[in-house]
Amino acid sequence: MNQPLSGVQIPLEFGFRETADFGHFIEGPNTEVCKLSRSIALGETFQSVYIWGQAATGKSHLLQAVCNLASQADLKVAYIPLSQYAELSPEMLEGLHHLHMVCVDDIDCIVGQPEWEQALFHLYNRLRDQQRPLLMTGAKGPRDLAFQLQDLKSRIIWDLTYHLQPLSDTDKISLLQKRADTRSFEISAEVAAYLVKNVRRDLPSLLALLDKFDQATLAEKRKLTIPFVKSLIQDI
Amino acid sequence: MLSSPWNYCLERLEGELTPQQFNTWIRPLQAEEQGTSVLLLAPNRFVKDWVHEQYFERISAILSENETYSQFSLSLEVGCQNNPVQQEKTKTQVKHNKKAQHASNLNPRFTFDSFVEGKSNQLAKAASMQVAENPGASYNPLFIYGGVGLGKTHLMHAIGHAILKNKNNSTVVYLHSERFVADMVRALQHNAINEFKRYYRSVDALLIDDIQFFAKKERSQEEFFHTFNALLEGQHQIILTCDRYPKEVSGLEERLKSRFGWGLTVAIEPPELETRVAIIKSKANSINKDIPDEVSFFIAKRFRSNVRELEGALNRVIASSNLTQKPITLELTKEVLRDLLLLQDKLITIENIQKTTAEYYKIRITDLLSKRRNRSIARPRQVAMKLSKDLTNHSLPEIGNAFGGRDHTTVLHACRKIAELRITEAKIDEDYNNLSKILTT
Repeated sequence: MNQPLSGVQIPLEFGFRETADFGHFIEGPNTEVCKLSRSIALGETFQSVYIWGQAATGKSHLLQAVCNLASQADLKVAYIPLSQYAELSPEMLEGLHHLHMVCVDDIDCIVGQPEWEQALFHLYNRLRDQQRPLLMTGAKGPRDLAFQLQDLKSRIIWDLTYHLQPLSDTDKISLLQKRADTRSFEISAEVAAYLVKNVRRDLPSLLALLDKFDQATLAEKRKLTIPFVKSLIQDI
Repeated sequence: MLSSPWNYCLERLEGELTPQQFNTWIRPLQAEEQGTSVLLLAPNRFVKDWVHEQYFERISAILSENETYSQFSLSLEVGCQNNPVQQEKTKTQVKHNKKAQHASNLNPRFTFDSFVEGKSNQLAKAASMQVAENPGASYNPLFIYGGVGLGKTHLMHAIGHAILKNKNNSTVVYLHSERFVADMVRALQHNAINEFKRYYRSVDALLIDDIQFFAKKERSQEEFFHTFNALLEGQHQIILTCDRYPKEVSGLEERLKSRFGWGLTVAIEPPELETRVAIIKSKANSINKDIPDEVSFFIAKRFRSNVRELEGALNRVIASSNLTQKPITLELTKEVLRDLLLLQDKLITIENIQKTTAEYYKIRITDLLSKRRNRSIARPRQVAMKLSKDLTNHSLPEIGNAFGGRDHTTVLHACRKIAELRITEAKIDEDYNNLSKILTT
């Protein structure tokens, strides 16, 4: 077990909750799909959309942002994260077509599960009959979704499909600064650029570091400088 | 947000739960507030049970802790505002009164006029038009089969519209087979099976889509079998679609399969190139969009398997043109559909970049990793480093390490050098673009 250093205050672990709204979403090269998602959330567009991309490109964030905005516009919405609850049942999708829109996250999780595939297919049809949007995300492109139910795949291909592009280094720097700001500590542009140059630049790695910095700046009551960051990275 | 007991609960819960929990379990609930009672409606039993187990107690506590709402009672049911499940419950009961009220469920866009005919579907279209002229008399049942997204549903709706046009007091009902099953289950649950039977047996034309979903649902098949016989006896038209030839549907009773073959069975094949081009033009026309020929051909050549795929690609191009305010050109089309045309997201690794770069410049991978500094080796190495920086998520030290243990400043220098050279030397820019294309497509 790691022993705390004497004199260093160990802060309580709060489990920080990110605000998943459009304001905290860095659009980067994904302006178009963001614009479309906003318009769907506000009830201006009735298109269904499938958004795909690598892990940690912001798919779940985007869907939750849609939920937040839709609720503000007094529209009823549900967010179904298929990868998050092993206990979910296909029955969960019944009756959702009475809502204004439905967001289903990580649809690749149900590939090869006939009951789930059928449930999603029926939800799709019922929402479409009523011109209500279904927003879905997955890791694979629409043509690579290996659903047993071809009808489901062909319907997803029928929709608007968007590839969520990874952020550029400059966007990652803004994201780090923005996220640090919501946690009430500061990362200078210089430090953020240093990170993007010197550690793995994928978002999960960068955001994991942010957690570490958050704790470290609280514990040591220091500003994040490059030497401080260097010492923290070396600890990993 | 208006102040109400449920809005008050929402505000509190939003602060207490993770956004995911809140969006998944709390947002889909609808509240009916009357006097001092709050009734929460969950979209289905699963959500209701989950909310009951995980959050109900907390919601009650939030209400009782508030002075204004402490006397309010809270309950939770399955249902939906404006469209409550109770309404559906009695739907079949209401329907049969006198002449039952039938909802045709026909999509106004699916008519014969908007159906693009080609070699692949002309027989199916001709048969459909005949059935529309003489419902119940010429081919009964009409069984249309073929792969997904080829226009079966479109033809079915077109027949329905034509029947209604010829005789506007006809009752035409279209539904997906799943809906038939769900209606039947609900009728059984609410002791309304006789009304259900009366409803479906009193139509002039019954259109059931995707009957392969009847597979293994024995009770539904039996009910459908009787409905089928009753309609046929009364010379009412039945039109069915399926993703395969009736005999090939497993889990379907033999007596049903054989009856499906009593009328006419027609196939729809995937459309050929000319038809695909015509489909794109017709679709674009229907929404008043002008699509250049080269764009129609580009899409039609690349999206071949079915009509939905074609329409999906076209929808995406039109959406991008609308959202970015750019005209639809071949260039925009290629750019927008690039991701869709890639077979999959290729996994790009430093090793792969080194291998591809070495092959491209006709040098060995060991040269790229060596200490040799003559330009014929150093330039390709710098290009490979720049590609590694641009196309992977590796850090500069990791990239340096992968190139024979070099320092990250060497990688930084290489990246800057190649960025400069791409502006001043056309050859380097061309090499970079070619390699980037090979690696990403």
